[in-house]
Amino acid sequence: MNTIARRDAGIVVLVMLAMALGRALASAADGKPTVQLPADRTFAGAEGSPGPVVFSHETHVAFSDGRCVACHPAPFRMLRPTGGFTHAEMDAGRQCGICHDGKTARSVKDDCDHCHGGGS
Amino acid sequence: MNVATATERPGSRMGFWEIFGALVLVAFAAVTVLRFTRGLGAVTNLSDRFPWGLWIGFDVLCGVGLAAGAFTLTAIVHVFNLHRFEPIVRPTVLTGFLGYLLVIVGLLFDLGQPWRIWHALVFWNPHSVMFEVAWCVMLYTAVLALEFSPVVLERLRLDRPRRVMHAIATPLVIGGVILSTLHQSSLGSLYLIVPAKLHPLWYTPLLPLLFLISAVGAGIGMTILESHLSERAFERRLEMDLLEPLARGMVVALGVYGMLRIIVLAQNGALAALRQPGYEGIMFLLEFGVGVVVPVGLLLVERIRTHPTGLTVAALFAVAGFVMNRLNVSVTGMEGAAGVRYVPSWMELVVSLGLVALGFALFALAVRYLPVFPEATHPADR
Amino acid sequence: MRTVGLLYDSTRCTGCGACTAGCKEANDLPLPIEERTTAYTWTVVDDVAGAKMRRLCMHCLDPTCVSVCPVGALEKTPAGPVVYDGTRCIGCRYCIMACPFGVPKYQWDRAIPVVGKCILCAGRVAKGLPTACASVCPTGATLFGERDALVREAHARIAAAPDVYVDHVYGLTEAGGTSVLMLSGVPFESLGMKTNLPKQPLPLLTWRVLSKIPSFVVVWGACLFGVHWITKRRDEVRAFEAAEREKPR
Repeated sequence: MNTIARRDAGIVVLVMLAMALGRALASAADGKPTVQLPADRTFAGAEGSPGPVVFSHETHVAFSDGRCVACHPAPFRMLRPTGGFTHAEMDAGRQCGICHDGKTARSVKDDCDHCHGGGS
Repeated sequence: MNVATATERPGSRMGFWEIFGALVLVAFAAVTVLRFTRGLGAVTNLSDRFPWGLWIGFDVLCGVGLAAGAFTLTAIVHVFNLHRFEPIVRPTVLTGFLGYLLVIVGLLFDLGQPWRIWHALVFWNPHSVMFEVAWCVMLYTAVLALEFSPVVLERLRLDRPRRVMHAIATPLVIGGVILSTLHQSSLGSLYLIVPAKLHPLWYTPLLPLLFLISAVGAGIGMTILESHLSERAFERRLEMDLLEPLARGMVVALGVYGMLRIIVLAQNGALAALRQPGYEGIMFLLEFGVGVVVPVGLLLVERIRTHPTGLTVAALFAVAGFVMNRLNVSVTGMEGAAGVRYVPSWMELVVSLGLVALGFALFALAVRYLPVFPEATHPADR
Repeated sequence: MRTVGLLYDSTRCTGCGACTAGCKEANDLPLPIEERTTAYTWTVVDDVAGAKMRRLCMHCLDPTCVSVCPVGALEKTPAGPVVYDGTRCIGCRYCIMACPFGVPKYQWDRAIPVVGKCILCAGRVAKGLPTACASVCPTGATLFGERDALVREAHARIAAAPDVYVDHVYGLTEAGGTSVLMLSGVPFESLGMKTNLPKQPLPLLTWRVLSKIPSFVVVWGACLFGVHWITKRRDEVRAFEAAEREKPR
């Protein structure tokens, strides 16, 4: 693993640890589970990309009825950030393309701005 | 019986049982291939909820117990010096030796990675009852091999080694009795660790003692049955003058065992629950009736005890009851907590039956080629 | 060395299954994710009429599985996790039969099978990381930490909200105490957790017997030899007396 990826992984872990503590303290008050999803992930994008893509758990969790196993641990990892997202893979029906195929969810070929314009 | 009969190749006929046995062994071979190529799940009805089934409950728990005649008989002859029982020592030790060998083969089927069976020799956990059982069974099988070796040495006319074996007979037998006492009771100790799982009709801190006593009784029962079957297969006379006093010993063992069971059940409240017996209650009553009440009742009657058929029938009940008890401990008594009923698959049955068939076949082979019975020994060989 | 554990608070669990997924990933277990724990899925969340309960190894303080394994394939590490060495295992399945919580599972489908169970992410814990399940839990229902601190936290929660929780920290004393502790809003039995377990660790039940073996061997050996010696002597005396009687006077 290269240093940048290792640093990212370390940051993710630290963030998760902090979140765990925070969740525990926050959940105290009303006894109802306070769900704190992982932070949004920003993918800067390769050369020629129309803009960074921000992946948000908030929007996606709603679509899976709160079932983490819909996406995890495969094809999307939880403990280490999954990388290497490319349109080639998505067009072939892998990675985001598993759902974003135009039938289950909007296709990756549709509206570039939706993902690359800071939406999602 | 005269020597001429003994040379008539006993046990070589092809009757119904011989054909049945052969068919079982063919199926056994097929199941063996399946077992080792496809794994336990493909061949057994075992599961995470029920990890031990027929192969442990019958092959191991009953196999070891039924071979207990060897240590009982050798103790009677060599420790108590009652040498008049000498004539039935050899066939009983043969039964024991074959029994233990078949238990080991049965284990090779049951273990998930049987090629690692030697691991207990180098990886030790003295806190485990199974570790102790493994070592005792290994050592005792070696003792049985040595105790049986004079028969082979006599046939091979290796006089010096045979005399050496004879000289070490007493310490060997004492070692064998100690090892047997340890592992026969330890088979019961295996179940001490599951007080919340094993049904109160069978769970008791006295499990090791109960397993030991029932093994003594069952071992004598097997000795009587083996004599009866040998009488029929090899045209021999039943040694009633020896078997009758042994049967009395069996009555004592079964009687003590039965009383201990009742006391335990009275103390833990399970006896009272028998007034409205559920599935477990009925299984217990069957086991107790067949294994204790009937044989003791029959053998207390002198006319039955001194009659070959009466003796054999009583022994049959005792052995059947013993098997029922061990299956009740390992299967029936564990089903409630497991939440599933376990029934062995036909392939599990084939393996268990196959091992029994192998036992009969090997016994017959041994009798044919070795001086197992006293009259089979030519005077010139002595 | 600190002993770590987990605190699972059923009232904070939404049954999302993140723990199940995270565990799969951390331990490189094959898909699919099953509904019950198996040799390939080491933790699941059950739903019983809306109430949740995780199924996983309890990492007992004096584990039954560790004591029964004939080859010592299971080990209670000082850090807390009960780990499994698949290279020692002979597949006797005594651990599966004996575990009072019904935890270990077997690879029944394999020709070369091993046992599978939660190992409290012993590798991650050794590096100072929390378990995977605790890391990914989005509500904090699963908390990782030192056992003593978790026990205090559990009691504090019960005290702070006595109408929310059943007044019992499961795992405090069951089978001698476990490293995995649980809180619930409904009776533990209703969630399939055994409440008839002794407070004493189960290994004591067999150690009571096994520890007496060395002395038993000595005493029993002496008895047997004694009987042999006495009866042999009796026979010798009888034979001598019989020979004496037959001598011509």
